[in-house]
Amino acid sequence: MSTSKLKMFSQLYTKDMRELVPEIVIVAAAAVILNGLFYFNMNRYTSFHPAVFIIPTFMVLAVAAFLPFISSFKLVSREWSNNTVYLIMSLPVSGVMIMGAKLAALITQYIAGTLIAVLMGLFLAREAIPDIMKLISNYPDILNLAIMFYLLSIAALLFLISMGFLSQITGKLSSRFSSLITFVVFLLTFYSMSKIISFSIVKLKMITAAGSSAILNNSSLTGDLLILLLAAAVVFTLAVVIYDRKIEL
Amino acid sequence: MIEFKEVSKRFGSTLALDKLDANFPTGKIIGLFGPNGAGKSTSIKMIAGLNRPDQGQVLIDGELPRMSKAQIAYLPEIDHLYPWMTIGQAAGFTRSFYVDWDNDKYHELLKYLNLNAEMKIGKISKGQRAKTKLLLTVARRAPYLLMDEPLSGIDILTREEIINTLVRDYREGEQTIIISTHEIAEVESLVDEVFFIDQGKIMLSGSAEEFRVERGQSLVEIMKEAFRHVDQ
Repeated sequence: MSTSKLKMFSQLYTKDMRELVPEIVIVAAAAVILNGLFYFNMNRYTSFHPAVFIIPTFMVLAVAAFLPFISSFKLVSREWSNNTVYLIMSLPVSGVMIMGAKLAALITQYIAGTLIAVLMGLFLAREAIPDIMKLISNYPDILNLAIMFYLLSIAALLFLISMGFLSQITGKLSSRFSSLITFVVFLLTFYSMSKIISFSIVKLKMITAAGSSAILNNSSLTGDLLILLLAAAVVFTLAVVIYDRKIEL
Repeated sequence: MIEFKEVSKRFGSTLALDKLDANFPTGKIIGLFGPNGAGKSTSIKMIAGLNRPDQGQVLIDGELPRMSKAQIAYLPEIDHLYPWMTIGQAAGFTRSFYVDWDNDKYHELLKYLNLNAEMKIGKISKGQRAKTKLLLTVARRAPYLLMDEPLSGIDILTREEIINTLVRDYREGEQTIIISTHEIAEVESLVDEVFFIDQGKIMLSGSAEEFRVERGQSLVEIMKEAFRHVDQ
């Protein structure tokens, strides 16, 4: 019987995705309901500014962005409450694979949710403003900026989820006051990492400001992205190290 | 061989293992017997790499447990399988992690234990869940099989099925099975070596057959006698 790291990861990922299906369905349902409400009542909004049709998309995007963070707590705590942590911890894989599969599943949840929100939003916008595609194509920079902000949002989510993992794993080190420890560790990590990130971003902006102003936007956004990714990697590594070396049942 | 070298483990104010020294020989069925809270589960979890010693060392063929997880098939006392999975999905999941998975054996055991791959784990009876755990553990050709209270809370007929499965599939000389239980009478006929454990220490150990011949007593009687002496 052949096994490979990829196969193992894919099994863990599929298992975690299965746990996230209800949340993806919630986002899809919210997108259908909110956009449907606007679509079927389109006549009422004709006197409003066309931008009103973005409202449902933003509402669904907010849900789609927030749910993976909440789900990160569910994914970890359920392993303990269902005792499946006994199965997971007895597998011949390291914490990187176990936590990595959860992280990948949560990011997939985010991408799926935001894609649903954007596609439904585009459908509604096309119906409400027939020239929307033409308008967008007149401003090619908007698309680039949107992509950059989307990547930034993924990096920010990676960072938040990693902090969720770290605080929960630290909480599991103690059988008593586990939730309180989780909460305190999350706040402390959030506070200290935010300080570090803000400091790094300010420094980076000072450096880029000294250079050409033409590249300011792109390079500073790329810098922000890298800083967030680095912060996420540090917090995630810390969570994995604690999981591998300290967690016991 | 599994070695415990002066292993101590404390949970809060409770000393679970107290400088425990033991060598579990390879290729035998080993009974780890003792009352509740004796340290049996902690010992088993330590071999499975789910607990770590505060002091001392546990070695499996000279390696630390976390390096030997692929060699170990672990059956915990609690239900540890995903309730939304079917038995077939749980088998597929397990199969992906272990090279020693034997698919023919899995299908054969599935039939033997009267289970169905389509059964949802969360919806089957406790006895069927116990058999499913056994199925997923025994369908591997793992060198070490750890069973923590495999008969606990199981009806008499299912117990018999579990024991028969173990006897049927045991590869003598190749496979080491460690069964931790306080229900000795049920597994007495199975075990080659016994370790009586109490308060985190080995009180008595040796060959089950030699004990029975030399003392003319069953293992249950030997345990009662051993622990009575401790209490006095």
